[in-house]
Amino acid sequence: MTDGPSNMLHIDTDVRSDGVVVAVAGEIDLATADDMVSQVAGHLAGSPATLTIDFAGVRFCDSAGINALVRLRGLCVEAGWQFRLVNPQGQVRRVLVDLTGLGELLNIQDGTS
Amino acid sequence: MIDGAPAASDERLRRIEAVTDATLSHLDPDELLSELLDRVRDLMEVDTAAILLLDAHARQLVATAARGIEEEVRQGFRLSVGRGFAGRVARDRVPVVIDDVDRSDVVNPLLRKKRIRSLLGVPMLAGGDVIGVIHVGTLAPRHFTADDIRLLQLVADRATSATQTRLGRIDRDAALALQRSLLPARLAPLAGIDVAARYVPGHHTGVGGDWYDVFALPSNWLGVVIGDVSGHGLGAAVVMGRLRSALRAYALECDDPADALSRLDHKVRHFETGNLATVLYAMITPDREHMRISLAGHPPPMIARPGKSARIVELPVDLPLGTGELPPRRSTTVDLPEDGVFVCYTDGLVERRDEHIDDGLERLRETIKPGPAEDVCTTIMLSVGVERPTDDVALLVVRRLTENA
Repeated sequence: MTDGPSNMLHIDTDVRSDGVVVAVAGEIDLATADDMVSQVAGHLAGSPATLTIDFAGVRFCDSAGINALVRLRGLCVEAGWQFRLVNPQGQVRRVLVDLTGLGELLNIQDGTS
Repeated sequence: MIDGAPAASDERLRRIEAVTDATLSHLDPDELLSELLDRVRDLMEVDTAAILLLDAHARQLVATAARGIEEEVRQGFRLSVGRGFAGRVARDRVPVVIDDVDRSDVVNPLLRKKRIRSLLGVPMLAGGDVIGVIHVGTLAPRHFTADDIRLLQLVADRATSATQTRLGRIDRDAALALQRSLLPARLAPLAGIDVAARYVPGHHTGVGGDWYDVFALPSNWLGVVIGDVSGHGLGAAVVMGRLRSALRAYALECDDPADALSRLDHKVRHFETGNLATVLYAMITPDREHMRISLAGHPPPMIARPGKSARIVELPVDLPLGTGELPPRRSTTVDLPEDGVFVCYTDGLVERRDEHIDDGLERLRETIKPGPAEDVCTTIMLSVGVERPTDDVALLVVRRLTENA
């Protein structure tokens, strides 16, 4: 279990046999977005698998956060990994899917554990 | 008068107060430097006083203010760090005392010409870095004391903060000039429409990555753009300038907004790294009756016609620019009602941390009533209440004029 350095963002990482699941909670903005990328990017090693970002606990994500997610997805593509973002909630889901049109790019899925 | 400790420390206090008093703060930084040097010359009973500031790129000290040797400044005297007296002060970052100039390596021909005999110089330090040197000199031989050194260091501190303010202002003025050239407050009039805009930066530099643009095309179509480059401050503003300019170039060549945004995306993928941008590009027909709109990850525009409440325009949303993918992009045709208003904006206008985005969209929708574009802008900005946003806010309102207007 890893805690994010900022107390506005918490990151729990679970390394499984089929990939890595990163549960993010709190707010992703200019202050916390880079932390998220650097903490997660380190896991993209070894043979290609799936990186799952679980957004169930994220209550706010602005353009800095969106930038970070797209960057993470890009790092996955380079490393040959699959990227998916699961369980975005409420207004975060609205912004990511409906307003910014990232549903397909970020492989956004609902109701996944 | 009795000699003794109390009188001496009163004198010390008087000297210190003379260089730190609050009235100095009311002066312009350039005046402040000159005023400080005047006071130093009186207080320390020296004949010359000068401030040289470091030109970091050239590694040279440049004479910036002087009393008693004004020619230094007039002639733009420069001295390499490490050379001569002031250069040594800057290089070694410690006070330097020269009791007898004739027996030293003082390089400055102006000091020699003036027949300075003794010199004291101290570095000006900001955050651990040398930003300049302040020195004083006498025509008669003088032995500068530890008290003199301490006093000049105090003066150096004062001069340092004045200089930082001056530099900060120059940077800020340059950034604002860039921004004003890209986001004019008054938009040039265009046939058949009345247009107005607002920009509120979310960054202390006064600049950011949001932009708006309106232009006529040779075909008599009009282009209307609103965009948001991720990031803040000058870095985002510089990228924004490039996108704004490139989109204008593609607009000249493309009949369709989706096509222009695709080309812009291609350019961003090739030339710009690390910045996502959301953009709305609308093209208005020559008769002003319709618009073709393409959205790249950008919030939906709103339209209000006279007598009816505003509606959010339902449009398909394509990816923001700069994701690295080049998806197919879509344009949609929308009516522009006579006397109606078309409102586009960046997410800073509707997004609040403690509120659902739909509440912000609804609040904006309720505020829009058809009218002169300037009035619509004013009403929106007042009701949305952007006083201290953390995100940039840009707003553009286009009103279609009736045929008789």
